[in-house]
Amino acid sequence: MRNLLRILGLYKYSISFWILVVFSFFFILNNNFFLKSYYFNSSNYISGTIFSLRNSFINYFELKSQNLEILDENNDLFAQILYYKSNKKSNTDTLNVRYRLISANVINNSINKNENYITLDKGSKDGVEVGMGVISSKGIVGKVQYISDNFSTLISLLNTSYYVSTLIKNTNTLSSLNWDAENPNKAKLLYIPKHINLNEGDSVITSSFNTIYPKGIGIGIIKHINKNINSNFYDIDIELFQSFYNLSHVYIIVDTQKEEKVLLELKNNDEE
Amino acid sequence: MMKNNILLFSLLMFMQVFVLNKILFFDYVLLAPYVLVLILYPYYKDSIITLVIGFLLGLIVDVFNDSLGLYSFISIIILYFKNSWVLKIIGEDKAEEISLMSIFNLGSLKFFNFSFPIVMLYYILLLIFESNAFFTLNAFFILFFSSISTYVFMILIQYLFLKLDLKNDWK
Repeated sequence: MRNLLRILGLYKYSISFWILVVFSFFFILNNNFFLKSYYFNSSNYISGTIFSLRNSFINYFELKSQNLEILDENNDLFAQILYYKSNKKSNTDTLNVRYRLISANVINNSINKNENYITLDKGSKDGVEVGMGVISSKGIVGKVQYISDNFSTLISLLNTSYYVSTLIKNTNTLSSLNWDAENPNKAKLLYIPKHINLNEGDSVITSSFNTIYPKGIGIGIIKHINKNINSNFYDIDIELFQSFYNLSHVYIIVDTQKEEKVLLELKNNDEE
Repeated sequence: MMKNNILLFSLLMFMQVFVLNKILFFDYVLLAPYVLVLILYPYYKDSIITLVIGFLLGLIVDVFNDSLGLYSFISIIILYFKNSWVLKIIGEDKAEEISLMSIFNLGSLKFFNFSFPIVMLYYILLLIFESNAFFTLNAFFILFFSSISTYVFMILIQYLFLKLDLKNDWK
């Protein structure tokens, strides 16, 4: 026993080195580790506060472009109101509204990694929950991954491990969208068989197959179709509507009927 | 002196976390002030505390970067490698004498021999874990251009913030 302790004492430097290596490897590989989802991410109190402080400085320089963006958005909304008024289809029954929006500001964002995350200044105190979808006025942005009281971290659309169920508007074809870490303005459309006729310029929207995004939120347009690959599926590049370089203001989607839908689907599974 | 070092280290960490981590210059250049913290850190023989401090510094960068484990892993590997590498370059006696592994204490040639492989190692580890295609021309360009520009950046920072330590007249 004494010899064993002596050997351990001799090699304590190497042993502690290997222990720390194993620790950090465990951190890297284990994505759902509880310390990671509760404390060691950018939505925790300290980093969230610092990021929002930094954002309050940077925001001043972007006020003009943000104002223009909001004006554009207002124009669109106004046009929609006029359209509904003229068609007398306005839905005044607010009790039946399925989706509610929480507006939030982006306080940290990255685009040059393979797995990018975004930090927002709204958290569980404002009603944000894990798994909610996030959109901007132009298109989809991501999904809430971690939350704290006042901040939340999103898994960005620019994250190679994130897939979104999509629909090509013209042909009603279901497909999946994934980012290939090449260009922050482009993404890949997956699993579209070659017998379907597609055109460059077709628009791609969200499908109704998930409870995260409502159906019909814009994502992008088909930019390039490569048919000459050795596979049953097309190789399609789409150009995203939302530029992630200057993301500043986003909306978190609260689906009030999500629980109902999930419970119903669970029941179905149980019966099978 | 100690106070100044801590201030410099905090400044470098601040630059890493809030400014330079987000910018990719000319498609290939990613500056890493954080690696200078690891290089300047003084040599202590078989010091477990050095490893633990490196681990914690890496953890701080990780928390702000949402990449838990990556930078702590890189810092431990670099500190471990550095502790044996510095003995090959300048020998144990001199290594223990120096308070900071700066270009003024080592001399330009020895500083290059000492720090450039460490910078390369930093980018190799970063590229292996951050990008899914390591053996590509793109990754090679990033490794090459980033290492050179980070080396130049490190020298600039040292000339700006560190003064010549005249006590070490052996070099």
